[in-house]
Order: sequence, then C-alpha cells, then structure tokens
Amino acid sequence: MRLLVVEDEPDLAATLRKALAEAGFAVDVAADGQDALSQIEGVAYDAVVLDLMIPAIDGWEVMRRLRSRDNRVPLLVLTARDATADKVRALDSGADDYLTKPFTLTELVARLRALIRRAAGSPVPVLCIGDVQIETTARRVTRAGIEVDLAAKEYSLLEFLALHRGELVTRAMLYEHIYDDREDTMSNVVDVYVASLRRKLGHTLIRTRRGAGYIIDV
Amino acid sequence: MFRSLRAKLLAWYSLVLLAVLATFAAVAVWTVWRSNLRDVDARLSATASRLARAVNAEPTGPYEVNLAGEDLALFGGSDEGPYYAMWTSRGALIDRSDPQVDGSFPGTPQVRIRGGNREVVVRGDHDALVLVGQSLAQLRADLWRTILGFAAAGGSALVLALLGGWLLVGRALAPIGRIAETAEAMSESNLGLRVDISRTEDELGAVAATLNRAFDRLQEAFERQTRFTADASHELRTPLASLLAELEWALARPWPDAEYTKTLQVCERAGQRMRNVVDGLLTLARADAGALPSRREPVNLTSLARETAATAIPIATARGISIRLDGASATVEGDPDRLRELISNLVLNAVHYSSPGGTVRCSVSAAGGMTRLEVADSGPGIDPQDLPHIFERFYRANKARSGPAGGAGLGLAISKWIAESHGGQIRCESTDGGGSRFTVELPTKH
Repeated sequence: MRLLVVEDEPDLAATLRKALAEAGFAVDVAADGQDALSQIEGVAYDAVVLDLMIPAIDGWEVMRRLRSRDNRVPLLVLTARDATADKVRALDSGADDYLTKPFTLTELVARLRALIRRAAGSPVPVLCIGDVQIETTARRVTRAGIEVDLAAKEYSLLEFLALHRGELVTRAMLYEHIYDDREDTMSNVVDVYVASLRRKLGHTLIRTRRGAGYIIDV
Repeated sequence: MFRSLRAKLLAWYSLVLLAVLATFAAVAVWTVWRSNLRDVDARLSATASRLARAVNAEPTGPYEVNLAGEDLALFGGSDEGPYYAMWTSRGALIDRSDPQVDGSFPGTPQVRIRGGNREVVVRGDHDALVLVGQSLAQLRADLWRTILGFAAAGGSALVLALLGGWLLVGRALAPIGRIAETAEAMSESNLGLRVDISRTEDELGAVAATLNRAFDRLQEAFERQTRFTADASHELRTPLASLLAELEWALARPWPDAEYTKTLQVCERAGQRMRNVVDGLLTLARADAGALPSRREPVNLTSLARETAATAIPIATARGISIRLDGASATVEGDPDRLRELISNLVLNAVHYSSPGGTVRCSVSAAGGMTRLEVADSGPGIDPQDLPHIFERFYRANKARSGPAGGAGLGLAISKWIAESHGGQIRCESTDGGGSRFTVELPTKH
C-alpha cells in the first residue's frame, strides 16, 4: 500500500517515513500543499496523511481542491490543532479521519489500515481466498491453517490483489502501490514476486491475463 | 435590584405627590375658612352697628333699647343662633338677648373667638358697648366636610397616580430588565449575545450601546486569548509529536547504533524547540505581568549590535547573505541581555527573510535624545495586510515562509516588549518586494 505523508516538519516527516515503511507501506513525503497536490495528481495513493498547517497551500485547501476534482483518495488529517471546530471543519472539507498530535504510531497505522480497507469496500481485517487467509493487521498469511513465510513486498503485492478481488490489476498499478518514489525497481520484479507467491500459495490463486496483468478471482 | 428600584422610585414619587396634595388642600381649606369667617364678621358687624344705633340713653334715666322687628326675629332663635349683649361705658350690663349670654364686660371694641363663638364688640351711641356673637359650630362642620372632600379627592388622585406611576416606571425600567437578562445569559459559549437596542433610543439605549461595546471588547479579548492558547498548544504539540513518534519507533524493536544516534538528534531538536517556545511564553507572561528589565545599566548599543551581528554571521554566510554594520557610538540604559535578544531577533529575522546573495544592513544613530537602531533586509518584504499584525504573538506572515529555525513565532512580540519596557518603541516599514526595515528607538543615556 502506497502512502503520501504531507508534513512540513522535516524530523517528523522522516520519522513517519521510516515508521510507516516499517509497517509495510510504501511512503512518499511532500513538504507543502503545492507539492502534495502535484504528487497526488501523479500517483494513485492508497491513503494520504495530511498536516493542516503546511506552507504554500494549507491542508483545508488541499482537501477542498482534491474533493472538487472528485479525487477519492482516503485522507487522514494529522495535526496539532485539537479544537472541535477544526475537526468538524476538516471532516466537512473531505477528510476521512482526524488524528491529533501528539499521536502514537500504532494508532496511526491502525487507522490507515482501516481507511484503506474501507476504501476497498472490505471492512473485515481478514481476507479469505479459498484456503488462503490474509490477516492484514499482523501482515500474516496462512494456507490451510499453516503459516506461509512471505517477503515484505510479496505480502504487499498479495494484499493489494486480494483487496481488489475480481478486478484486473496491471503491472503498472502493482509497481505504483508497492514501491515508493525512492526505490529503484527492475521491470520484471513483479513477475518474479508473482511466481514466488504461486510457488508458496498454489498456482490457481493468481491468474495471469496475458498482456494486461493479474487478477484474483472472486 | 430592579424590583426594589421600581418600588423605591414609586415610594419617592408618592411621597412628593402626597406633600403636594396636602399643601394644596391645606391652603384651600385655610382660604375657605378665612373667607367664611369674613362673611360671619361682616354680618355680625352690620348687626352690631344696627344694635348700637338702637340704644337710647335718657340723660337721667336708664338706657333704653328699641329693637326693630327684624332684629327681634334674629335673636329669638335657637342656641346656635346669634346673640347680643350691651354695656354702659362703665361696664354695667344694659341688656342681653338671652340670660345665658355671658355678661362679663369686654372693655374695648374687638373681634374675638371665645368659647367656640365668634364675637364682635363695637362702641355705640353714648359710649355703650354692643357685643354680637354667633356660634361657629356650623362653620366648623362645613370646614370638616370640605376637608373630608379634599381627602377623598386627594386619596383617589394618589391611588390613580400610583397605578399610573407603577406602569410608567415599569415601562421605563423594562430595558434595564432586558439588559440584565442579556448580561445574565452571556457565557463563554455565547459571547456573541448583545442587548437589543433597536427599540430604545433614550439614555438607557445609550447605556445598552455602551454595554454592547464593552461586550465587544470582552469577546475580542476572549477570542484573542483562545487563539493564543490554541497557537501556544500547536507550537508545543508539534515538536512533542515528533519526539514521541521518534521514540515509539526507536523502542519498537532493536536498531543499529547509528539509528539511535539519529533518534537522539531528533529528540534534541524537538526538546530545543519546545524550550524556545516555553522560554518565549515565560518572557511574555512576565511582560504581561508588567515586569520591567531586571537590570538598568549603561549599554553601548553599537558594540552590542556588533557582537550580536557577529554571532549571526555563520548562519548568514551559509545562506550567502552578508551583514553590514555601521554607525556612531551610542549609549542607552537598560538590560544588556534583553537588548541583545532584541537585536538578535531582528538580525536573525532579517537573515532568514533575505534572498540568497542579499545584504542585511544594521545601523545605529543618535539624534534628538533618541538612539535609533535600524535593521533592513533585502528580502521580498511583508504583505501590507500582514504588516499591522507582525508584532502579534504567533502571527506568521504568509505560512509559506515559516520563521527562523526553531522560532516559535514569538520573536517580534518579545522584541516589541523589550523596546517598550526600555521606554522606546519599535516599528516596521516594508514594501512588498522591496525588503523590510525594522526601526527601534530608545532614549539615549547621557
């Protein structure tokens, strides 16, 4: 899952980047509203963590512009402003969730997972596909009750496909959602991961649509 | 309070009314009494004169009284009716209308009230004294009736006036009730309430308008305080969030040593930023409490500016900015630490807002008993709509240009306090795009 963190405080931005990466997200950072808008324009983020008091264009305006362009990316506002009026204004401007600073990383991660689940239309934290179970909170996968050891990117790829069950997912989409903008990738790395996942979870789970991409059937 | 005011007003009002009515009634009753008495006197005098002419004295014999028929009829009546008595000049009783009439000699002609009767004594022919009297009972009864009439009319008038007064006072005081209700209903959550003054244009309307203006100022002060608290909270929460998130990350699992070093650096920066905010808030809290600089000693402003500018040179050089200092030696009186803080705030601000390659000009001059310190930058200037607010706490002109690193948005507010607590002032001129110039004027020490 790929996130954009919009935060002008360099130390906090760095902490969020490494902590969210540790939680399995691919994380990009924007330091101001202008930058945030252009990045969201270019990448289909799974969620955006947005500070309100940011330079150039403030958080409220960023939300307003995104929503007026019918961009539905899940938005979590992370701000030091704790007045009820601010929360109401942010939620009414299009925010999906609101967390005040100081916050705990575990709560932030849990809220982001919930936001992404809901956006994918699946409020259940455990995804079941045949005999394969994906626990999104613990990032754990079992097949017929036996835990399967997956690399971090393998898990991310599987989770994204599972959350979009029944939809064709292109290679470009997979690259976009499991890598952040600082990672260099080889063009065939997705195919390598899919092959590895098939070895571990069975060959029928992920189907290939030749020339188009992959799909997990409903 | 309102009810008692209404009652008090009414009590005074009725007291005054009562006094007026009573005075009026007393004068009227007195006038009536005098007038009736004059009538009685006139009648008695006329009768007495007639009787006096009816006295005939024989030179040798006894006096003789020849009463006309009408007078006989007059004195033949009841006890209430008039009576007469006559005496010789020596005081011997000649005649009286009734044996019960007091025969004691009055001595001289007079008009008197005796034993509830009005008596007129005149001197007649042959020096005889003639007294004619009449009971005043009828007159007194008439007087009492008049008094009772006045009392009844006055009482009714008083009751009507009280009733009307109660209503009028109530109407006049109704706006006070409304003002009290509004003031009572005002609280933290609805500071926007105002007294409705659309219907009152009198003195109470003016009072309500004055109150409304006081409420405006109160609301403004309250909102400023709320905004200040929110801003202070924001400035403290931001580094605190950074500190706690970094610590949570570091403690989640073991990391290589290099990571811990970075974590400690993040924590240090967050701690320093919090210290800056807290220091600034404490300084301003002291300023609010009216504290004056703790030290008063001669300070050479030029050397102080030179020292302070020197500490800013490394930061300025890193940004490609030069600092130029010139000016004559000038001495002011004050707290050197505070004055250093003032100069440092202005110079660091100027360095921060200058474009790379720009120059910060710092100069000290003395004229007319004042020493002037000027700090000018070659930055983009301050937006005219921000200019009136830059000395406010936590005010950030254009959020895109955040203040100097670690600044909490309190520097200029503190600088203003330092200048003013030294008996001086600070101002800023700026043209959008043409740089800003901060001027501090302090009294010169001779």
